[in-house]
Amino acid sequence: MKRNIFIITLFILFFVNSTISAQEFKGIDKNPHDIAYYRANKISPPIIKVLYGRPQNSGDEVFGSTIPFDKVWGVGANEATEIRFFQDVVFGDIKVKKGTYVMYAIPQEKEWTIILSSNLDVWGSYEYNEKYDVARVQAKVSRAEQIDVFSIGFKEKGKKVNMALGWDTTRVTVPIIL
Amino acid sequence: MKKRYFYAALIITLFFSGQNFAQSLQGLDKSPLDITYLRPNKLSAPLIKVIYGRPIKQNDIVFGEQVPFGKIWRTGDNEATEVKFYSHVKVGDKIIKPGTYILHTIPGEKEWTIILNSNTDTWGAFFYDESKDVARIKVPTKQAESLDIFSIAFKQSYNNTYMVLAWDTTRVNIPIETKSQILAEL
Repeated sequence: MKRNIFIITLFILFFVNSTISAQEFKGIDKNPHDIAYYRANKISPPIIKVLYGRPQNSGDEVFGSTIPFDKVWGVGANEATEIRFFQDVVFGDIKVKKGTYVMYAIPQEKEWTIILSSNLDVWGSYEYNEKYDVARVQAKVSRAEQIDVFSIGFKEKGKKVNMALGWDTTRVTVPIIL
Repeated sequence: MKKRYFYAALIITLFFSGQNFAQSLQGLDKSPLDITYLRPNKLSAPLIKVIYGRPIKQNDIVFGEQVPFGKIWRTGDNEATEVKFYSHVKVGDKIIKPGTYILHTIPGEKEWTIILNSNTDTWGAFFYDESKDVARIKVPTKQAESLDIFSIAFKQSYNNTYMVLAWDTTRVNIPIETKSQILAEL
């Protein structure tokens, strides 16, 4: 009986504690989030939306070093990067239904694997599980000027939209057909 | 006020600059975006998710100066603040369906008007459309220690959940009944 009371007390203490810590206000994250939209024009409704954390480096090599090759990466920082398609699309060469997905990548020197997963609201790549894969596509690596902040942007190319991932001197492009 | 003109100019520039802007990979925003989740515990699925821009205090007084009273506010910065409910919730006397909404507020000295609206993926409060309101409630303000960065957090006690808006010395506790609390009432 005493033991039960002890456990209940412990439980209550834990509960009260956790509610207090939940109320604390956090500072600004050193890898802040950002949103990248693709819209047909600036006032039309969005077609693609990416919500991602933006890690930074200070001139050191990133891929193959800070972010190792051949391992699943959260394509950002903190909460796993989320991509939402407002209509059905062809992502790389795979048909993907409209909806929200988590995006992962496996960086490599010449070609990356980009993964869309249906397991949402997860942290980094720790909870990555292949069974939730919706698409896996290969994307070419190209080189450009050095940038310090991990960035995602869109570039229109005829009927395609290229999603560009950029950090350091690395650029990775995934064609998306609308 | 200057900031408003700046944003208006920015938006006009955006409209006319067309695709160029979208092509470039952008630097970091000075009001970075953040995510706040309400989860009953660290491992459980989320109940509520808030995505919001976090402006930093510039004037001595935020509400009434940097953010004017009596005018609709994006309740953050840049893109309108977004709230996602993973199950039914009750705000004021309205039951709100699971889904994504934007959060706007009208700050006042003693009380704020809290607005949930379904016109999502909009910039600031420039595209506010009252016909898309799903809830509108009034919440009294409270005072607490000064905070430089606009913050949104959740406060939960045994039978109450509050979404707390906090900046400068102002706190606004928005009551949100989650599903278990709604069921307990029946």
